Amino acid sequence: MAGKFMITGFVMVCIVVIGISIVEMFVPVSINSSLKTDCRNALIRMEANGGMTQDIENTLEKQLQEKKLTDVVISGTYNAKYGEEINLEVSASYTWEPVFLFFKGSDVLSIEYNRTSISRMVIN
Amino acid sequence: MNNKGSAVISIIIASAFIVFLILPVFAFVMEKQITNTKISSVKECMDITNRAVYTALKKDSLCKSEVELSINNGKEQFAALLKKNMNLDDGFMPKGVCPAAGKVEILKFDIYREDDSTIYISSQIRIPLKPSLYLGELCVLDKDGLVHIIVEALSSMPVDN
Repeated sequence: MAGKFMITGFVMVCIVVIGISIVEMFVPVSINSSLKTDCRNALIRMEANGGMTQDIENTLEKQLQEKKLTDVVISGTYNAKYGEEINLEVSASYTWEPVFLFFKGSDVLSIEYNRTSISRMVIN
Repeated sequence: MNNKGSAVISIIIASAFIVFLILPVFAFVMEKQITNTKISSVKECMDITNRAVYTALKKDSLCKSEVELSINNGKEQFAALLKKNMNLDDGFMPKGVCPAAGKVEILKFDIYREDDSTIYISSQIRIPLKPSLYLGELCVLDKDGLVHIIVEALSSMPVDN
């Protein structure tokens, strides 16, 4: 009887460890998606404003730092006229410290975003 | 003696349960999540690219149903920006970091209006992905071992900028 409890317990522990490990593996993916969403919103604002502004840059930097991203470097096109290309390039680092993937240790992951769009700012 | 045999059988059953049921289910979930992540990355690229075609619209011809493209040609603009945003070369093959594992094809590109205030831009591409775990067992692979997935993006934007 005790043996059955031990085996059942072992199976349960295995399932929990595998489940939590998988969830932990997707944390960097989630951070990456979140960065892309913030950058996309910044790029949409850039389209309407004719390029990068100090306000867009500061807001984006703050949003990324709130997600515990470090070494945030933002560069974008300034003063683009209607129809001209605008580019947003963002790079940041994320320190991934999984608890259950103990064999992995901590890892510094580099996340990059580089997109080009067209300015919709009409200058009269 | 009988109890020892029973314990061994229980261990074998438990191991088989983990190896043949739990691990494949988790592998399937992971594969699906990895594929969804790649597809959402491609959709994000396509959405940005769709919106950028706005300036190719001929402003005087914003009629009720069809919207005319300017001489710049929206499709060409879409293709050029898609190459930049997805990191593709002139032959639509990936260069550097790119979710695609082979040649990307543009299947459809449409611009239309359903009401007076909004323009809809719809695009569809076929993108080859490399199976990460067992996607290859579930889908039909081409001769290069890639899975071809059709991704569609619909973007909307106001007519009055």
